[in-house]
Parts: sequence; structure tokens; C-alpha cells
Amino acid sequence: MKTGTLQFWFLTTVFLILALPELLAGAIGLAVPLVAPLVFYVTLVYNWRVGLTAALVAAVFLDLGLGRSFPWSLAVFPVVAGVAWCFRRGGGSFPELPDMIVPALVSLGAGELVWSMLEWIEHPGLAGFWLAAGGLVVGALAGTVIAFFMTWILDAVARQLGLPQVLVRDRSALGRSRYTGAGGNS
Amino acid sequence: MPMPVESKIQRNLLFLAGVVLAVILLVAAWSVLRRSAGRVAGDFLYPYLALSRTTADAISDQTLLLASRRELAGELELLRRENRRLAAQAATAAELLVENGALRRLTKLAPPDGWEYVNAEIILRDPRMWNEHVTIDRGSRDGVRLGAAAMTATPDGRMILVGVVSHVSHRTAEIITLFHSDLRLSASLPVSGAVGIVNAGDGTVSPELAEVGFLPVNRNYVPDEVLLTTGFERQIPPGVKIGNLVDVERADSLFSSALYLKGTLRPAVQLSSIRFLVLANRLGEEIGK
Repeated sequence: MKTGTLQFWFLTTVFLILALPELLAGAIGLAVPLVAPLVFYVTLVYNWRVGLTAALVAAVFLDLGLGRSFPWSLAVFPVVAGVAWCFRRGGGSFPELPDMIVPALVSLGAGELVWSMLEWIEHPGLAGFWLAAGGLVVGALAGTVIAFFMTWILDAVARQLGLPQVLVRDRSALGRSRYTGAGGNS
Repeated sequence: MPMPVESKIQRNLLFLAGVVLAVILLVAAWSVLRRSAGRVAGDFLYPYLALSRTTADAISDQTLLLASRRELAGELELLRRENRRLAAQAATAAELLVENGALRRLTKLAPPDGWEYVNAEIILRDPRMWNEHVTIDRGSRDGVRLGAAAMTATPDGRMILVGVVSHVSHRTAEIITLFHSDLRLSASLPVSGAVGIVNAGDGTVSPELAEVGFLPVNRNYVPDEVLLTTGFERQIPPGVKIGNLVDVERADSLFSSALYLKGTLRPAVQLSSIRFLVLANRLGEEIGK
């Protein structure tokens, strides 16, 4: 199978595996961010074009699935992809798993900030503020923890498939660049 | 051969412009897209969502089997008692129905509207908009109609309004609740003799309250007075409790020329713990109308 085709099916499968639990968790009141960390991961591994495309497709699927009257995820996921791309461009040291914490926290926090602002506009006042602020903190932290483990697991699978990964195993092969999609046939 | 820098920048800009255009088009056409593609998405997701519900029900059934015979006998006795109480209530209601029919014939009034009810279970909720809309496991194949009232029962058996069906697909339907700013319906206030419109304003007041507008100025509103459905909406039965009035703005009798007032309403439904709904369908009306 061609690498491009394999990448497409790998990402589609991972997306469906993550989107369904996110929808099911939502039904019992848990806002578990699973797709946003995937958008973050995809942007770091591939490039901003793939990241943005993934963000748009994922957002439309989630918003349609949840029956939202306004596509809120469409406003949030591109922000996650954009900030993740800034980290990919501006990174200076070699990426290892702990290094993922700051970019994940900032990227997912930026996405949550957009959410919180929209929520506050929808419900102005003190109650709306605490709702939005609580969502921002909990969402960003939960997303970071999930992104941490997701990177670890998805990189392991990608390595087996010979696809690009985020984390670098062989530092000497990279020079100064980071998040280069090392280890695969990119 | 590597791509020239200008060409790469041009390609990137073109892609970015395409993405921005796609976002604008998606947002602009969202309501249309949601109506068409939303139905497909609802039906596509149904088996997965139903599977999780079936699993939860199976676990719940197995848990019931773990209960002792004494506990089960106690539960059975409680249910029998409840059954007897409901049977007595139904008999009284049937007598009243016959009497009402006889009186209507005497006064040459048309017979009252008949309603049939569909039970439904919530299978999907948006945690970000927890109080605003829900998706249920019944669709057009089960007789669910657009605009039908979604209700739930209180522990003492009275019906309270949850919301209205806003989208119907073959196997699922979406309900917008009283907290959703798109849901506008008339509400009567029997104590003050007024009629207002729920969610008459642009947005919601707070996560727990809704706005009620177009309340006539020349009425004495009583705090905590009850709001009921009027029956003006074709698919909503009259007399169903909506909630209680929290407050009404004061009009300055000297300087104000306002004809209507705004108030806030506390919906009776507790959406945080709700799982099952009852949908009302007007009898003798074709599906899709």
C-alpha cells in the first residue's frame, strides 16, 4: 500500500476510534477532549495543511454528530492546529515526551479559550463566567494529559506502520529542527 | 527539483484562502447542511449510540439479578401498589372524559383534541450545551413529528414540558429545550390571566433561567406563579407545566409607554438528571405535516 493511502486510512481510523467515545462520553455529561488532541498531533507530525484539513473535517463531523445549531468546533479546531503549527515552526530543542506538555497545554488551551469566550457570550454574567473559566482550565488540562498519552500510543503504532512520528528516537539524525515527522517515509 | 519559494508561498496562500472560504461557506450554510447532512449523521451514528445504551441496559439487568429475593419481592409489592394507584387515577380520568364528551355534545362544542404518546430515551447530549438540546432514539419511523412537545413526568405523575422536536431523521430526533434561545412558545399565566412568549429575547438569561417576554403591562404578576402551555402551538398539548415565574421587570407608570414587560422563568424540568422523555403527537394528523 502507498504511504499516502496508509496515512489516510490510519488517520481516518484513529479519528473514528476517538470521535465515537467523545460523543458517547458527551451523552453522560463528560466533555472529554479526544479529537482536539488528535488535531494537535496531526499538525505536529505532518504539516499545517494536513492539520487544518483534519481540523475542518473533524469539526464538521463532531458538530453534525452532536446536532449543534452553530458549528462551534469549526471555530476551535483550526485554532488548535494553528497554535500547534507555531510550536512546530518555533521549536528549538529535541522533542521528547515531556516537551509535549507546553505545546499541548498552549494549543489546547487556546482552543478552550475560544470555547470559553463563545460560552460566555452565550451566557453573560458571573455564572456564565465561572462556567467558561472552569471549562477552560479543566478542558486544557484534560486535553494535555490525553495529548501526552495519545502521542505516545499513536507514535508507537505509526512506527510499526513506518509512518511519520512526533517524538524523536535518534537525536543525531535531526540537527536543530524539531517535530519533523521523523522515523517515517515523510 | 525543489519548488521555487514564490510558488510555494502562492500555493500556501491559495490553500489558506480555500480553507477560510470553506469555513465561511460552512458557517453560512450550516442550518441547511445540518438539516440534510445532520439526518445522515444521526442515522449513521445511531447503531453505535444504541449499542452503548443496550450494553448499559444489559449491565443494569444483570445487576438486578444480583438482588436478593426479599429485595425483589419488596420492589414488586411497591410496583403493584403504584399500579393500583395509577389504575384508580386512570378510571377517574376516563369518567371525566365521558362526562366532558357528554357536556360538549350538549353545548355543541367540537370534541377535544386527542393525543398519543411516544416514549423515548436520550442517546446523545452535547456536554458543552448540556441544557440546550438532546438527541433521542426515536425518529420518523416511530411516528415522531417535527414540532412535537417533549415532556417528562414528575414523581407525582404530572407532565412537565422539556422542549420541542426540532429535527427528525429516520431513527433519531433532536429536541431543543426551554433553555435554547431558538425555542419560542406561548405560555399562559393562569393566576394573573396573562399570556407571554418564552425566549422572546435574543439569548438565554442564565444557564438555569429562561426569558419570558410580551407580558401585558396591566396585570398583577405574582412571584412563583406557574406558567402552562397554551395549546396555541399545534403539536403542544395545552395545560402542561413549563415552569414558575421568577420576576417581572417594573414599568414606570409615569414615564413609560411600554405595552409589554419582560420577565424570567425557572423551567420546571431538571435537565441534569433526565433520561427518558414522552413525545406528544396530535391524533389524526399525518406524519411530515
